[in-house]
Amino acid sequence: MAYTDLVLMQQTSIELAKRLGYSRIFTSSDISIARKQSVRKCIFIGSEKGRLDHAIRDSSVIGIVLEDSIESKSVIEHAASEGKPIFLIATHLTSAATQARLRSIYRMRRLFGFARHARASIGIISLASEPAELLSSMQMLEIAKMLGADEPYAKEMLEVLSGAYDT
Amino acid sequence: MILRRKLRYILIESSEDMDIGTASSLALNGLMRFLGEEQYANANPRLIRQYGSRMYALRVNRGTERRAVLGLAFVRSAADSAGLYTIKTSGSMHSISEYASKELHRHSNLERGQKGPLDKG
Repeated sequence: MAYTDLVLMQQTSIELAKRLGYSRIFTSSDISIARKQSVRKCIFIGSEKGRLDHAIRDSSVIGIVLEDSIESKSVIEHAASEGKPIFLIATHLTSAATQARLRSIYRMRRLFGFARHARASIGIISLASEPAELLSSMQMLEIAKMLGADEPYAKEMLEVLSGAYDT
Repeated sequence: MILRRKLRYILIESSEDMDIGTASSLALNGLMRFLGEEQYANANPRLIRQYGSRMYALRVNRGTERRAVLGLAFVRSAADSAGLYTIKTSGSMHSISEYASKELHRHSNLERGQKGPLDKG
């Protein structure tokens, strides 16, 4: 079990990571969140099909985030065939205002269903930008289950980031 | 015969220091909003103890702890300055207290500098 998380903060403590149930919390200095090509290991975030397709082929991109949980069948299938994980961002749900949150839950559930059906690898990360947004692994597991994952798959989703980082 | 209530205890930690009254209203209002009145009544959550300045024990009815853990993920203070993390769930208060005491002890050791400074994650 090697649950990991990625946050946008500059620094986190190992003690906190352990208390929250993670073997490691990656920061933005380990893995960046990029909207364009990067030389460092990064997770590409975007909504344009062409850019996402290009990112999936890029070796420095360890995974993609579909902005606004867009359901692009071809991008999801391309990611599945290339073995690039699709990451879901938990703080888009937990930090949104009520109306936006309900919409986000609906869209993210649909995206999860499409991606799972296409046999894509799906990961979940918090991408917390401040301590108040951090989530424990237990909370992340429950969020993954809320999106439609069963218990074993929810656990796998928390391990996807470490697998992608190591490859 | 007295029927024994089956309870689960959740150790939670806040992202900033607050007293048990503030933490209680934050957690319980958040859970009420997330669970709705019916499920809230089923869960019957109570913040029953504080450990140090940031850790608390939350008691819920057994079978509702998963919903409570999920609900706590959505809890934010009014100014979005504080959130709540769930650290551990258990069927006995003893193990929660023991775990919290260990964490507090470790934290105080770190502050005294018996171990190295917090490493970068």
